[in-house]
This record gives sequence, C-alpha cells and structure tokens, in this order.
Amino acid sequence: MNRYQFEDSISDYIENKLSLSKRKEFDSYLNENPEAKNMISSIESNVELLNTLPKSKVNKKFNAQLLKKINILKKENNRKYNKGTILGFAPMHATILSGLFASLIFLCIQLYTSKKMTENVNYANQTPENKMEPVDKINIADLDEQNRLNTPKDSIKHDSLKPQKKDFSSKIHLVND
Amino acid sequence: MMKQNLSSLSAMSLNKQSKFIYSDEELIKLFQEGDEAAYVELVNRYKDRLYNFVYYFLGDSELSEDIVQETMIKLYQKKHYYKEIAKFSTWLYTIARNLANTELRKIKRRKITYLSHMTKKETQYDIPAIQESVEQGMNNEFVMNQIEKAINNLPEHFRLIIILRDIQKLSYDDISEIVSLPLGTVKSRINRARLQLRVELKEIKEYIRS
Repeated sequence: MNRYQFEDSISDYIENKLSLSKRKEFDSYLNENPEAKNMISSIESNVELLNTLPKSKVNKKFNAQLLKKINILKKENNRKYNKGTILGFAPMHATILSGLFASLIFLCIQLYTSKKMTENVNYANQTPENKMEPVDKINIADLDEQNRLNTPKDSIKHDSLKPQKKDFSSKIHLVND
Repeated sequence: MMKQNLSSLSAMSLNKQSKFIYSDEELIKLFQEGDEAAYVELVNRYKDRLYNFVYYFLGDSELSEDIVQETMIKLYQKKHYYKEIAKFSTWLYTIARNLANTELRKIKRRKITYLSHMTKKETQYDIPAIQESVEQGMNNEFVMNQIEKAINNLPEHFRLIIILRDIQKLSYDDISEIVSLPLGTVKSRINRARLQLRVELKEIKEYIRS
C-alpha cells in the first residue's frame, strides 16, 4: 500500500467498511508508519469532536414567522391574480370571450330578424288577394279586369288618366298605294 | 387525517405535540393532496436539522434561519415539483444547499467590494486578532468557536461534504445525491476534507489537551 492508497482508504477504515484483506493491508501499513497511525487517531478524534458539536435549534418564533410569511405570500398571490384579471379571466382570455359573446349576440339578432322576415313573407303568401303567380301564367286582360273590380269606385277616375290608345289606321299608307 | 387550514395549525406547530407516524414521503404526498398539517409536521421535522447544516456552512445564525425559512417557503410553493423517485430529505437538503450557495456567493461579492473600498490602514485595523480572542475567553465557547472557524476555513466543496457527513450524519448515497456528484468523488472528498480539517484543528486540540 502506498501513501495515495492509504489516504483514499482512511474513511473506509474509520467507518469499518474495508474488506478483511484490505484491512489487514491497511493495518500493516500503519504498523510500518507510526506517523500514519497518529494521523488515523487524530482523524478519529476529529470525527468524534464534530459529533459533540452542539445541535443548535431555530428561534422559538420560527414557525409563527414562517406561517406569517406564507400568509403574506398567499395574500400577495391573490392580489396579483385579481389585479391581472378581468372578472377572474386573464386579459387575453377576457378579450377573446367578450369577442365571442359579442359575435353570439350579433348572430342571435341576425337570426331573429331573418326569422321575422320569413314569417312576414309567409304571411303575405298565405293571403288570397296577394297570392303571387308566375308572371308567364298571368293573363294581362284578366289582371286588368281584376284590378278594375278590386279598385274602389274613387279610383275609377284614374282610368281617364291612362293613356288612350290612338288609332293610327287612317294614317298608315302602304308604300304600294 | 383531516384536512386543516394552515393558519389554524400555528398553535399545533408551536406546541410540538404532533402525533404523526408517517414517513417523510407519505407526509409530502399528503401535503401535495392539500393537507397543510403534513406541511407543518415536515417543517417541525427538518427545521433544526437544516438550520444546523446551513449554520455550519455559512457561519451566521440569523442568515441561516432566514435561509431555512426560505427553504420551507420553497417547499410550500414547489410541493408539486417533488417526485417520489428521490428521498424527500435529500430533495429538501438540495434546496437548502442551493439557497445557501447563492447566499455565500453574495457574501463573497460583498466582502470583495468592502475590502477593495478600504485603505490599507483600515484593513489592518479591522481584522480581529485571534490572540485577542484567546485571551478574552478560554472556555468551552471559545473551543466551539475555533472548531466552527476551522470548518469555515475549509474550501467550500470540502466544508459542504464534511458537514453533511460528520455533523449531519447523512449516508454517502444521500450526500452524493445532494451535491450531485458520483459516490467515488464524495468518498474521496471526505478523505481530503478530513485530512485538511486535521491540520486546521491541530492547534485547538493542543489547547484542549493543555
């Protein structure tokens, strides 16, 4: 065993962790080197000395102070949390939610108005006098007759305002004539 | 165990009459599930141990207590970061060690700034003479102070390991986990630290003998 091996094995020797063969080797080194033996006894006494060091304790108010600090920390965290939020939501989430809410309201209004319009159209379609027919099927003469019948008496006067059909037959001259 | 509010437990935590039979790992699990009584029990179990560890590492009682409090606050805030793959004690010691290391770096920076601002005369005047202390009180307290000084004179990496092993009595495996070093390196460092401490304590042991 050399000096390095000896120094590396000191702790294992003191703590009885050396194998039997190594322990014998270590003991023989100690017998050969009285200085090493002194070193071992000195280290052993140092370890004992460190063991006798008083185990100091924390202040009696330690727990109370700690709990106080934790409570302050909790309050601060709550304050920070409330300060940085809008009704409990983070600003970004609050913006997104309010946007979604606004668009939801807009959609509701749109749906409501379109429903109203459809109801009106359906109502109009259901009344017999306003029943619509395809234009190609409407007989203009019938329509005129119908209009005349439907029109109140006062409105008959308006017929005079209608442009009269002029007879251009006398004015027509054929080219060969 | 009933779930209790932290504020209502302050009395219990002070009278130290806890009847917990749970392991640390079970307690932290209970705490993770919202049981604050488990937290108080963990604080009671570890506050003195951690205080001793930090105190011998930094050499300042007030600062050490602050660091232990900070460690406990971290435990409260980061309880969900603990996973059962590690031992609770090593996890807590690692938090305390990191906080103590940060504080030590701050102290060193402050010392360097302070010394660099002092004139040569002031430097000579302000450093207390050991001889004076010897004359002032040759008693047990003096011996303890000298041992503390000897520990403090060790390099940081040796000091940390010697405190964990010889004062805190932690296993090599636990130390290896706390300091994030291989087991072999931890053992080797303990050997070197013990050898160096022998030199540091030589004078004080001679004084004890006399």
